This record gives sequence, structure tokens and C-alpha cells, in this order.
Amino acid sequence: MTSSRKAAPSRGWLRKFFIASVVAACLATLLLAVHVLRLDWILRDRFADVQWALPAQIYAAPTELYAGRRIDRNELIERLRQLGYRQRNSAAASGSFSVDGRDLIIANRGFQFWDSTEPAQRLRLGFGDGGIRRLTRADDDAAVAIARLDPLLIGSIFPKQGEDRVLVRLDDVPPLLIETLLDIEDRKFRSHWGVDPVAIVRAAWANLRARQVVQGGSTITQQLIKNMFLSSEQTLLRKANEAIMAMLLELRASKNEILEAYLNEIYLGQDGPRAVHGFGLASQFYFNKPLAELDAGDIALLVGMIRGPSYYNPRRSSQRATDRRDFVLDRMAAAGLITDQDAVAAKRSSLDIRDRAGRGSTQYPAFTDLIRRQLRDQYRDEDLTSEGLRIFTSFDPDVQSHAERALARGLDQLETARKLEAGSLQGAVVVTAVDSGEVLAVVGSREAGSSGFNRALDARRPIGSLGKPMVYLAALERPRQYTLVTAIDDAPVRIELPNGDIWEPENYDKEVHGPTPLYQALSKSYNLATVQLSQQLGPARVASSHLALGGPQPRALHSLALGAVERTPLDVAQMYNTLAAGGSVTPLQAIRAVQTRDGQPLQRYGIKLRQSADPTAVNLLQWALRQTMIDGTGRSAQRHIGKLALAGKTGTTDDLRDSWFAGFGSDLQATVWLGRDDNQPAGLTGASGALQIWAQLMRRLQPQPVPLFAAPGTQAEWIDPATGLRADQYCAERLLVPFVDGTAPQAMAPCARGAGADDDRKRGFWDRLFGG
Amino acid sequence: MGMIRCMAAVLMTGSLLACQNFPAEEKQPVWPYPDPPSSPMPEGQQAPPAGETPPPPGPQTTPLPVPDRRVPPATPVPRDDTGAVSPGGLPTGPRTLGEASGPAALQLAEQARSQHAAGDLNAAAGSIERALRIEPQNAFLWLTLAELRREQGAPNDAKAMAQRAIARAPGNPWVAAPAWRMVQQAELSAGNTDAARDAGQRAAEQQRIADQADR
Repeated sequence: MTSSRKAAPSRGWLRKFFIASVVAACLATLLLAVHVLRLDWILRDRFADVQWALPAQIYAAPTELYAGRRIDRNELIERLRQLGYRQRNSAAASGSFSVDGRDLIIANRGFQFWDSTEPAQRLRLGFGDGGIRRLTRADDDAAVAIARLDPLLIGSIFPKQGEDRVLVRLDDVPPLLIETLLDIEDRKFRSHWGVDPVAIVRAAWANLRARQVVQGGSTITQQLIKNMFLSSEQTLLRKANEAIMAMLLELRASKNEILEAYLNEIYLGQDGPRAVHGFGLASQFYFNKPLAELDAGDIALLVGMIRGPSYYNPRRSSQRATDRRDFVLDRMAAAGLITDQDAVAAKRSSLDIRDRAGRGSTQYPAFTDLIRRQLRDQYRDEDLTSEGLRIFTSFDPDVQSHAERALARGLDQLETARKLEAGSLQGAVVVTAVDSGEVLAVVGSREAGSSGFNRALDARRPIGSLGKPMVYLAALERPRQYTLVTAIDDAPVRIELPNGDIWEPENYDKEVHGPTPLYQALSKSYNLATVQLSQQLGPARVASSHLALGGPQPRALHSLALGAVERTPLDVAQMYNTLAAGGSVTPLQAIRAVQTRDGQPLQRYGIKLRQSADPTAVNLLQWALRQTMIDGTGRSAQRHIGKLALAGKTGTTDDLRDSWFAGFGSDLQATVWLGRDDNQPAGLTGASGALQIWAQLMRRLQPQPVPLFAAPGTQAEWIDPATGLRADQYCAERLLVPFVDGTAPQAMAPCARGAGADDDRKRGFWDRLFGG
Repeated sequence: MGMIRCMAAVLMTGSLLACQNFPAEEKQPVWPYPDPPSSPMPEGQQAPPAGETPPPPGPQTTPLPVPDRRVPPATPVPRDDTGAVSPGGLPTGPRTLGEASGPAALQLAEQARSQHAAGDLNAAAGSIERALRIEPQNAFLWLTLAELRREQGAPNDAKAMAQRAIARAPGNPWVAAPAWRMVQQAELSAGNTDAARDAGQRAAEQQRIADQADR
């Protein structure tokens, strides 16, 4: 009884406890079920379509190979190295090249371009006479008319603080990489349900013994979950969630899908604001080659780095990275994935990391900036950062590096020579291909790799004398009134402006030169003569010349004649490209085509052409701008470019704040601006500053000469520069000048055969003409 | 091989231009290419730069704008240096795309032809533009691009490109005749009847010169 009496309350307590436990367990299960459902919902939402945010990839123009192409063998080898081609004793595997006597053998990678697929093939290139003399297929010696290398990836458009990746499909991943990955990270991947309890216990034991975290027991699936959803904090709750989601994922996705996702998701390093995700990008980022070309050592390093991408970063600690790689190589050999000899050989080789890491978003921020702006009109930001678009551009890495170097070195030299504060000057360069209007290179800063203020696109500065050719174009478009030798009076002008101010421009040398042949007023950049001419024509005509050359519409002010209008270097490049192209406007373009991520063509940007300025007048103007380089303000370029027949114009603004030069051959146009960011005087004229950098650049680029005297409907006549009349071989000085048919002067100069006495010659035509 | 290439190129441009609808009064075929020559690439033909006027004899003291001679390509890639008129008064210069182009440009033109045949005008234009990056002076390539642009419904581009073709091959009626015809078309579609008539006359005149030379 007693016992039963005693037992009754105890039994009641037990019952209560039992019920409470059941209720609690039910509640917990319910909560857990809700939690699991919630996790599942998150998982499904994210994993439903494995759409990686794929940044748009930007490609440079591919290197074309064909017999007759002018390219130095070493230059081509340099390009191959840039593309990550490896030099081998005999080029067998794609992505390698070898030197065979004077020939070069390239195992071309092949590439799916937007217009056609370039096959992977072994090419033999014979060199001679400054270029490729012969191009054949290496295997059967059949002639190859044309081939192109895969294009250099110059950057990607990813969101700020964003992830960047190069998507790979499981089929494209070398089996050795997958096997190594599974061996190192998750041996039971093929069989477990998402978690591997044995591995967890083993890891826990190891960590306990070492009293710190030395080993992780996470499966591939868990790591994927961690990378995709969760923060990296090491809490028990996170671990539990991770395990639940891993098991849920295993129910939802196949092993192969999980593996592919892992290969694309795993974090493998940091590059400034850019997070390097996935083996595709890591392969490019560290080795500069596609995944398929990785060797055992490369694979060992990448797989080894998963544990600590920052700790094992080969660029930071070569020793740690090497040790880690060697450890993985041993494991690979132990697992029978590679032979012992292979492991020994791989350990002996260097890490082979590419030297130039992409800095931030790109090595070429100014050009990528231009691409982004041209795309912004047509694509939404999230499409650019997530749709994996492939963007083919006209970017020429060689032209770019010449332009970067010319600007950086030129500014250093100028600052030293003129005792200016080091680093005070800034500059920008834009190089375009004349015929197509394609932008080949953009430099927006003397520190070309820094993605700060892009002066090439954003520095709006007065163009000074760069605006003069627009005045002369307006004149030459009226050939019955103006020829290249028409006398323009370089005499003081006084113009009352609408607001009552008086405008009295002066020449740069403060001199007054009197009557001057039209071409000389331009080539010597006389302000007074130019304003006189502009007054004769009316500023409205000068303004329409700006428009005709593809520039923005300026206001028709008197001062427009002297370039009192603010333009960016890119605007100027557009106008001078039109001058170089004979007066047809080709809107400057940097994008050739856009492809979807699966290689479907999305959009092509073809050459657009619009004849807007009179080609004959432009041809005459080109001749005058050629004179600038011979005996005008541009003549100091001769020590760099020699007799290379180029044309161009200097530009200098008030108090020497801006130093401009824009000029061209028949195939290339380059615009250079120098100045200070604070818009203080830079102490440089167009000739002493920008011209020097332009000339050094052109010496490197060796453009084709400007064709003079080529325009139909023109004829060239020998002219005596002193009088502007016809000259013959008896004249001490004479110049071949083009004229629109029927507009050349008829009268012979005094120096010509028998004509004119000595004193007549001394007086000169201009004196007589103006009654002097 | 070269012969086949040349024939292919002639056929190609022919087929490209055959689609062109010309005004009814223009009965002449636009692209009556003469028989291709035995060699599509006259070896060693390195004419002086287009249109350079030879200076008359006499002392020269002023520096003259003499264009630099560039290193010639190892394989002679003929350019259409067509400014010259032969002593007999007959025009000279390449008469076909095959004659005017080097192997690389020719292969790309062939590629453009098959892309055009497959209806992919965009890709065809892209291939011609690629060829033009190799031979920017090749008037026949500009002419072909003009035709593609016309088919793509961009008469203004077509006109400007035809004009560029004319400018790149001064004195070459085999370029000028079809090019002026394209200008005529563009002017017609823009409603400029006077300009169209003028272009038509120039086309007819150039055609006459070409026919005369072909005989």
C-alpha cells in the first residue's frame, strides 16, 4: 500500500513527464519539419535552374594569321604567351607551340567565334621579309589561307563586390581533376547521402587531438551548400543546417549535377573586388590556360587550394603553395591516379603561375569602360553581370600596350625635362582604325591599370587649335573661293561679342604674319588668319563642319574658330578619324559582336558609313595637315617618325592648360591629350607635349602613309610658296600642291623660267598683291 | 587551285550582285565579269601607291610628301592600285574580286558567299569586314559590302561604301560601273531623282569603258 501510495504520485509525475516529452518531441519534430521545409524551399528556389550569375566576358580582337601578314616572329611568340600557349619541344597538344628552325608550329586551340568556328589545328608558319611568308597545316603541309588564334580575354563585367566565374560543364573537366578532387575532399562522394558521419567523427577526433581545426569532415555536397547559401562562421547551428540541406540536395539533384555545381561554385581566391569562383576561372586566373590544358601539377595545386585559397595563394607564398601541391601529388600517386614518376616529375617543375594577374575587373579598365557604356544602352545591368554574354571587341592588346607605354614614359620624360612636379601631369590616348571606325586602344590615365577617372571618355577640355581644321574645311568646300594657296591675311581682329565684350585674339608668338597662303595659316596654326577666315565664312559654317566630321553640335560662336569648345579625347578621335577617312563618318565602335553564353550570335555591330564632308575638300585638308608635319607646328615629330607621311594638328589652350595632338596615317588615327586634373596650367603646348607622345606611339605603330594627290577631280601643281603662283624647276623652292580641277593658279611665279627680274622676286607676290 | 578560287570568287560576287534589282531601263547586266585570267595573282606586281603623281623633273629643295615604301609582304598580295591608265588609253587594274584579292581575303570572301547563300547576311557582312581589315584598300571588298548592306536594307551605308569603293580604285571602270549603279539605286530609293540620273549616267559611261577594255 505504502509503496503503491508512494508510487502513485511518482507514476503520475512520470506520466506527466512522458506526455510533456511526447508533446515537446512532437513540437520539436514539427518545428524541425517546418525548418527543413523552409530550407528545402530555399534550396529549390536557388537550385531549380542552376543559373550561375555569369559575368559578361570581353574578348580582344583575335590575332589573324595569313601569308603576307606583317608580324615579327618574336612578337607573335609574345602574343602566344599572353594567350597562355606553352612552348614545347614539339607542339602536339592544343595550346602549345614549338620553334622548328625558322618556322613556328602552333597547336591552335580553336574557338567558337560569333561568325564561324575556328578549328583546332596544328599550323606551320614560315617567316621572312618582316612577316609571315608561308602558312600551312603542319600535318600534311596543305596551304592555309587564313587562321586566327583564340581571342584574349581582357575582362568581365561583374557586379560590384561580385563573383566572377568561367562556366565549365562536367564533360569539359579533365577526369584527373575530378578524381583528385574526390580523393582529397570527399572519397565517399559517389555513395554517401550528403553527409559522411565517419568522416565527421574522424575529423572531430583529429581536431580534438590537435586542439584546433585541422581537418574538415565536410562532403563535397556540404561544401557546395556552404559556398552557395551560408556564411563561413563555424557554428554548430550552421553545421546542422548545412547537413540537412546537403541531404535535401542529394534528394533533389544527381551526383553529377552536384559535382558540376561544385566545380563552378567553389571559391578559389580573391582578385581585388573580384571573387574567383570555380575551376574554370581559377585555371585562367592562376595559369592563364583553359581547364583542359591543366597538367597534373596544376591540378594538384588547384585542388589543394580549396582548403585555404588565401593561405595557399601561390602568388603570396610560393613555398606554401608548392608544399601543398606536392602533398596532393603524393596522394594522387598513392591513389594510382598518376604514376610515381609523373609525381616526381611534376614536383620538380615550377608552379608556372601567370605573372600578370588581372588587376581588379580588368587589366584594361579604360577600354572596358567604353565597352560597358556602349552596351548599357542595349542591355540591362543584370544581363551584363549574369547572362554570361560573350562580347567580341576591336581591342588590340599590342596597340594598347604601345599607347600605355608611350603615355607613361612620355609624361615621365616631360616632367623630368621641364622640372615639373612628378606625377602632376595626366593624359589620355585613343587609337582608332580609320576605315572601320573601330577603337583599338583607350588609355584613360598614366597609370593605365587603375580604374579611376577615365580621361579618354570623361575629360571634357577645350580643344584649342584642334578646332582649326573645321574652319579650313568649310573654306575648302568652296573651291571657287578658296584654294590651298589663297591668301589669308594674318592681321589683328577685333570682334564685338553680343554681350558687348571685345574679343581680340592674338597669335601664339604674339606676331602678325600678314598675308599667308591658306595651307600655311593652318600648318603654322596662326590664330589671326584663322579667325579672319572664320569671319569671312561665318561661324555657322564652322559649326556645321564640326557636325560633318561626326562631332557634337557646337554653338556657332566666333571663338569656335580657335577651338573654344569642350570635347573629350574620344570626341576628338571621332572627328579626326573622319578627316583620315576622307570625310565619311564612321561612328566609333569598340564592339564587333555579342554572343549568348552558348555561342549563339545575339547582335553584330557592322561598319556604318555616312559620307558627310566633301571628300575632295577633305583630301586637300589632309594635304595641309601633312604640311603641318613637314614644316608646321608638328615638324618636331620628324625625329621620331622620320619621313613617314602622316598628317595631324596640334592643340594648345589658354595658359597652356591643355596639350593636344590628333593625327593619322591612312589606316590609324591617334588622339593624345595631356593636362592636369585640377585644370591648372600644365606648361605644355600641343607640340612640346602631346605631339611628342603621339610621335613615339606612331613610331611604334608604323601606320600606312596618308595618300596625297589621290582624290578624283583634283590635280597637283608645282607652286612657289613665296608667291602662291605656278613654279617650275628654276624656282629655288617649290611645293607640289593639289587643287580642285580648274582652280589652280595660272600665272607663273617670278622665279619660273625667264619670268620676273631679281627685284621682282624680292618684292614677292604678296607684297605686290597687297600693294606693299 | 588558283583558277578554281578565282572562278569561285567571280561566281560569288556575281551571285551576290545578281540579287540586285535594277531599274527597268538598265538592261545591262551589272556584273559581267570577263573571263578570269590564268593567274588570279599577278606575281610581283608592286605598283606605286595609288594616285601618287610622279613629280616633274627638276631640282627639289622643298621636302616633298613622298609616301614611305613599306616592306612588301612576303607573298605578293596584289592591291588594287588602279589609278593608272595604260599608255594606250585603256584602263588598267583588277577586273574581279579574284584578281584584286590575296588568298586570305579571297577565302573570307568565299566564306561570305556561302554565308550569303545560307541566308546569313550578318555573318556574310562580318566575313567581308574581316577581309577588309586585311586589305582595306580592296575596292571589290567595299563593293561587296555595299551590296550586302543594300540587301540588309541600309541604302545609305550601301551608297557610302560604293563611293568608298570608287575612291579606292580611281580609274577602274570594273569597280566604278557597279559602284555607280549602287549609288544610283540608293539615290532612287531616297527619292533623289536628279542624283540618281547622274549616277546612272556615270555607271553607263564606266560600263562602256569597261566593255571597250574587255574587247
